[in-house]
Order: sequence, then C-alpha cells, then structure tokens
Amino acid sequence: MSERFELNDELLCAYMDGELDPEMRVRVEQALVDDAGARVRLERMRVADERLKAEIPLQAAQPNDPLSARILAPTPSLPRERGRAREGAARWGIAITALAAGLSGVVVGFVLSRSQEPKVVPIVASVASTSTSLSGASSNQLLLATLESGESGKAAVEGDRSVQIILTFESDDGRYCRAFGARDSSASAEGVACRTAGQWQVVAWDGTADPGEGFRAAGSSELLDDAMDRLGGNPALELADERRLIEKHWSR
Amino acid sequence: MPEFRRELVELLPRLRRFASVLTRSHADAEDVVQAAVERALRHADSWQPGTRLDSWLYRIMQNLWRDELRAHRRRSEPLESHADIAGADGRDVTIQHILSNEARVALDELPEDQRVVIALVVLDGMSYQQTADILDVPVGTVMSRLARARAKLAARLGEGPQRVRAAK
Repeated sequence: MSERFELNDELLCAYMDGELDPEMRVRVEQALVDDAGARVRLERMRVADERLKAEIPLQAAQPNDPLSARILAPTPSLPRERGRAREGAARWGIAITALAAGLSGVVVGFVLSRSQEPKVVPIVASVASTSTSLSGASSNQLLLATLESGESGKAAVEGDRSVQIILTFESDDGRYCRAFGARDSSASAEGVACRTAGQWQVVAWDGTADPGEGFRAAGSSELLDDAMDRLGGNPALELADERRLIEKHWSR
Repeated sequence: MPEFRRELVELLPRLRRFASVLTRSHADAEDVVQAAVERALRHADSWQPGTRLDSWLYRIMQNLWRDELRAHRRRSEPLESHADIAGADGRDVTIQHILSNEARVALDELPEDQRVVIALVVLDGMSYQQTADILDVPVGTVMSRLARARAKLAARLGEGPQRVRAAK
C-alpha cells in the first residue's frame, strides 16, 4: 500500500465492528502493520469490549418472571388495551363532570388529545374549592378534596377509588397547579389541575396513563408532560412549602 | 397478537440489559421496561410485522426515560443511586449483578449518549445503521460517540485483570 492514512479511533471501531467494505478493511490491516500505536489502541478496545460482554451478559429469562406472565396472559392485567383506556377516561370524566356540576362549576370541554395549541392550556373542568376534609369527602368529592388538601405522594382512598397528588408546582402565570393520578378498581388516569380564583380547574387529563402501576411519574404521560411544560415547566414545590399552602388554603 | 406477545417476552432479557445501561438503576430499569411493554401492547395495532420489534422497543424506552428525567428535574429529586439498590426476587438479583462489576462502573461513568451506543453496538450487536435509526441520528454521529466511548473504556478496562483476546 503506497498511501498511508490515519488510523483514528472511528476507523478502528468500524474495523472491529465489521462495518468496513472489503477494500477498506484490507487497507486498515495493511496500515496496522506499520502502526504499533494503533495496534495497541485496537487491542485495548477489544479487551474492553470483551470485558463488557463478559461482565454485563444477557441474563436468561426467569422462569417465574411476572412481567412475562402478564404479557402472555389471555387478558393481561398490566397492559391495558386502547378501548379500556378510553373507557377509563370516560368514567373519570363523568366523575369530574358530576363534581363540577355539583359544586357550581362549569365544564368547558375535555382534552384527550395532543391537538391543542400550546399557548393557552384549555380547561377540562372547573370546580369550586371547598375546605372539605378527606375523611368526609363523598366519592365525587375525592378528587377535589385531594387537590385541595392532599400532600404529594400520599393517596386518598375512598372505597375502590383513590387519588394521589404526584407533584405541585407554580405556573408561569402565578397559579398553583397539581399533577395527580386517579384510579378505581377498573380504570386509571392522570391529570393536571390549577387553582384559579378559588376553583380547581382540570387543565389536562390522560385516561391512558396508569398511576398505580410502577412508572407513575409524569413521564408516563406525554400529554401531561406537555401540559406542564405549557404551564412553565417549573420545578415542584418542596413538601414544606406545599403544606404551608394547604394550611393557608392556597393563599400566598 | 399472540405472536407479538411471544416476541415481546423473548425480548425481555435484552430490554432489561438495555434499560440497565440506560438508567444505571435497578428500579428505574424495571420501571422503564414495564412501561415500554405497556406502551408497546397498547399500540400493538400500529406495529408492522416484518419491522424490527427490538428497535421499536428501544426507541420507546429511550423516550420514556427522557420523559422520566424531565419529570425528576421538575420535582428536583435525585435519581436512585446504585447504593440504594436492593431486592429479593430473582430479577432483582440479576440486575444487581449487572450493576456491580468493574466494567459496569466504567460504563456508567460515560455520558448517556455514549452508554447507549455501547449498549446497542457492543452489547447488542446492532449495526451502525440500525443504531442510527434507533437514536434518530446520522451514522457519523454513532461512529464518533462510539469512538469516544471506546477510547475511555479502553483506558479503564483495556489492561484489566482479565485480558481476553477478542474472537472477532
């Protein structure tokens, strides 16, 4: 080979990985003969690769792996089908509607897709706030009561229904907002509600989210993540600040 | 659908290894795998037979993890560290093992974009083009990330106690 070319790390990697065409492969091998430094680098990278493969092996499937069992189950309990997720959204939607009507709020409309323009976060439901305690809340009041006085991370349970605040944050326009998960025995959802003029307004609602099974962070719902971003994407309040606001009924 | 589910189960060991590299955390890895499986099953109707299921799942996991990182940042919470890892069932022990060796530590010290390329190319045997498709970056970017990652790993592991000559 008359032409000498630089055996940089990218080229050595491509050689190792079989990504070079035959002609280029021959050129690399010829160049390696005259380049002791490249040979050392290549050998060290190979050793590192082999150690990675040996020390981070593929683990055989566990015989009683619960995730495998649930995937293969005729009616998997973990993964919910689309229809069921929609049904869940509708069921909780009804609850919100009833909540709004019962407490003199106004239902503006549901947001179940990502087609909303981002400038203004639409209101899904609007409900009057009260000082209802969780212990006295009716099933329809559970969501409102939890929004009003629930601490992040603690689930409020009533019968087969539960609501849990995931986090609390302040929006760019100065409202306090809370991301929450809600579920009953057969359905679950996540939402974001903001407090405006003494009312909690549900501004985003995702019936495909599952707040009770593992990955419950906002990351499980792109729709809610988008909604929180549109509200400013601000950090969550510390628990102490959240408690102070709850005690003061969300006044500053 | 039964075939889809069976393929999904067969993929689980690879998904778990990829997730452990991606998240560097036992609990987060399991969560990401479970959430990815849920999402894949919910959207199984949109899956096109003949296309690579593994690539699709890897993309889903990356998106979920990105969202999770954003959520953690929003909550100002630290992510779980290796020191917090504990578990009793078989899967926990398996993942704990994955996270506890020297090569693992060296890999974890790489930036995420480099770890992921190592996971796909070196551990999973993906081609550069497949890796580029999964990551939605040019092949050249895959090559540069891979070269930087390998150079760092070679410095840490290339003269390690268990010198193994590559069979490749």
